[in-house]
Amino acid sequence: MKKLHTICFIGSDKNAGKTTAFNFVYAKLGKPQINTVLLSIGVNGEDFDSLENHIKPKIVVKKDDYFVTEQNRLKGLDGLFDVVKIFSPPNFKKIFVLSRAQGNLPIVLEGPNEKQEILKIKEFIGNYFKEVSILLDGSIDRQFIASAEISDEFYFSLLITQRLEQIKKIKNLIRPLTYEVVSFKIKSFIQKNLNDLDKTIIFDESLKIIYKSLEISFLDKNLLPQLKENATKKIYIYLNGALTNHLWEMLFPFKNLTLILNSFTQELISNIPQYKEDTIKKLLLNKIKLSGIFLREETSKKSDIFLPENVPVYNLFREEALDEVRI
Amino acid sequence: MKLEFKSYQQDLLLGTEIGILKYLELFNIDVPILPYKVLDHLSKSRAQNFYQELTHLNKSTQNLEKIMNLSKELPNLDWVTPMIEQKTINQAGLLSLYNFLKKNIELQLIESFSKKETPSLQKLIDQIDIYIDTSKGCLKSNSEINQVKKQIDELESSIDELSKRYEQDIFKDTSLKMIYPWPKEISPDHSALEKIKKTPLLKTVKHNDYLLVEYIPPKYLTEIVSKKEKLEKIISSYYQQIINKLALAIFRKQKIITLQYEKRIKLTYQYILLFCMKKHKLVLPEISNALRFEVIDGILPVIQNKRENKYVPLNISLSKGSNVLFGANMAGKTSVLKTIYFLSFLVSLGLPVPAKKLITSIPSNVKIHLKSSGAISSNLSSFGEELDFFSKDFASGSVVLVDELFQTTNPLAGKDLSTIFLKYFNNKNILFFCTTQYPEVIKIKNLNLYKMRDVNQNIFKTIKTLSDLLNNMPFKVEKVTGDKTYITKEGTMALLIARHFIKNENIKQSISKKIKG
Repeated sequence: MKKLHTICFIGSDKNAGKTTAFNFVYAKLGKPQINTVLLSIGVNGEDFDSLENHIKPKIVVKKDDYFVTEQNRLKGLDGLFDVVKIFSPPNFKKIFVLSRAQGNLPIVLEGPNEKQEILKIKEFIGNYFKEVSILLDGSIDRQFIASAEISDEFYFSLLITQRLEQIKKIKNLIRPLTYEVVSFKIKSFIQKNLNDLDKTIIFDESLKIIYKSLEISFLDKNLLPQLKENATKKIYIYLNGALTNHLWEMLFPFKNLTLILNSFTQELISNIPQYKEDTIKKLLLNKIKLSGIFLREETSKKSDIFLPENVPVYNLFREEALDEVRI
Repeated sequence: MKLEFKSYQQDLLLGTEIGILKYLELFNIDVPILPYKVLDHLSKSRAQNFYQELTHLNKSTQNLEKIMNLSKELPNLDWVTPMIEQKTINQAGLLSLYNFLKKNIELQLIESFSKKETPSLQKLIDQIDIYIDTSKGCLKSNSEINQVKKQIDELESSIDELSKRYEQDIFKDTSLKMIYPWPKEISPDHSALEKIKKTPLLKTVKHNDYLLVEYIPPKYLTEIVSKKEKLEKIISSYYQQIINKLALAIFRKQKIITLQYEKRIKLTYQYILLFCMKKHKLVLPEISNALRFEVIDGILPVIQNKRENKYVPLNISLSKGSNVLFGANMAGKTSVLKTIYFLSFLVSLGLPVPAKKLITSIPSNVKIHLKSSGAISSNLSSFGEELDFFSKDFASGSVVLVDELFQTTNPLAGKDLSTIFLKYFNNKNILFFCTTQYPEVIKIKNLNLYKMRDVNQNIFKTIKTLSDLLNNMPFKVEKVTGDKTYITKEGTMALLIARHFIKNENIKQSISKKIKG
């Protein structure tokens, strides 16, 4: 394990049981020798679930563990924690406080929404602790959570329903797990040539850049002419943004194309008629370390979702997995 | 600190092209107390006072580096001040305030000009010190509270044990394995359903196709949980009392805290300017009451960065009225205008400037008009654009810079318009500076004339490309005094350059004949 190791939790949808999974993994950690920091992207662990009209599980920070939350979330808890660091503007949009819980402390975690803010917090934590695990309550909407700078390991929470929209979200999340990772040579090439704001890079087999753009790929008017011009060549297209229906419709007729996705959170394709998974080859820039899948099954009906093999699957609401918490 | 404009009166592209936005980045220093500073054009009196204060601070500050390092540790209190006002300060706000007060005093001890008498704030620090442990960032507790905390720890162990007992009781009653407090879902045909319905320890709630099994904790568990909650309330109330007491004490000092905080923000900004000034070898302008602009080795960083060691800094002295610059093509006239615009603009914002020395009045306004081929957005031709630029009178004390005055129309009209405008501006209280290709304007009385130093004609024997020519350009401005007639021969240099670079022999010969006269 790295000196600073981040375990990220992602839910396919609202009420997918992400906080339950978070609490489960946190409980399983027991009392580790290394420090633990709880961090969230946006608000998490809220009391009231307005959608389902019931109390959601709160997050209880264990005695001596650390957590980051927005200063207003500490209201009424004065004296029950130690303040380690206050993160303030200009690097942060709100005031976030890194604290140590003096006793078991129920807390609503509210962390920053931007990648740079999370990186700044990670930078401080990395310097402050000798060895530390961060449990990051992530958000599927923030694609940056999948970047190697942010997360080292993932847990997915999937909401299994009969609603097509929800099934589509799960499939988009699961499908990229089957993609191969690019070769070391190509990965180094992309990393060398990629600036933070670049959205698309097209290059050929000899690793010569054909096209590079800062435009959001699905809005980029120059993309299609570039693809047409190079249609007969074997080329790679690297995307650092959402793979939408519109973009997929543009890309899939180019059979010589290999698509490289920056992360597994990018696929936002719905069940469009033309969609065929194997029309063009898709690769991932980074390998995903998926440590577990948590299911929240709203239906007893069988679904056509194929979960990846060799990844532990839990349904905390039905199975005996919780036994592990008591160990 | 990030410097930003409140309003950019010229277009943003000009700011980018002239490098003003890039220049502001020189002052980016991570100082929490001053995350942003929004710049605006300062009035004459404000700018004069500001530079005076800055000059004084520069002279009286010995340990700028140490001061900067301490300033970087000053926390931002923008989020704390409303809490002080409403007497609702929390632990994190309290720590930030405490750190501010301590660092502020530390800084005041270094500052020769700061008054050392802030006993009331020292008293407040002492009072906060009683209740907070700054090394740990926590509120202090007494032995009684420590005892309560110990009891809570013990109760938590008991709760854990009793939770296990509760789970076992559930299992005995229903043969259902539950881990308290995690709920469980069962199917409606679950074998234990009847038992679950009968037990007082659980209840079921319909949840989609399933039943959600929820807990009805037994008395032995609820009693101990409630005992723990009572103790937690004792602790919370103890800390709340401390916080309330401190909030009141801080509220009483609100005015002096706000005053000190605002003063410190202002000083921090000034220190940042001075620190960056020294770091990047900038200077503070000397402010003149009379309308003038005199610069020694003035720099336009965007051009300096491109030309590197071949860059020639600007030396020029301009005064009230009309000032006119002549010079061959590619001699650097436009760069002179841009440099003056850049430096004057910085002065109007109250910033240090890149020069060896700058003596200037505070411009009430800085305007520049550069050559263009018109603007599609405003549907104006280049002539239309120039007329638009001159359509309003310039405020007294303005610095107005125009590239190739009225070159946008036919030469006869251009010459006449130039003469009319130059005569008019020569009697106004503005500093008007333009480049021109109309030698006729030298006839205007009391006009300040300048010229770009000519390139040595011998270089045409050695240079091959336009880039070679550029590298041999002197880029120096000379004041024209005495005989002004040689300005009328200005066109010769353009002919020499054209003859050198045009390949067609017939044209070359014709140009040579023209040069010979």
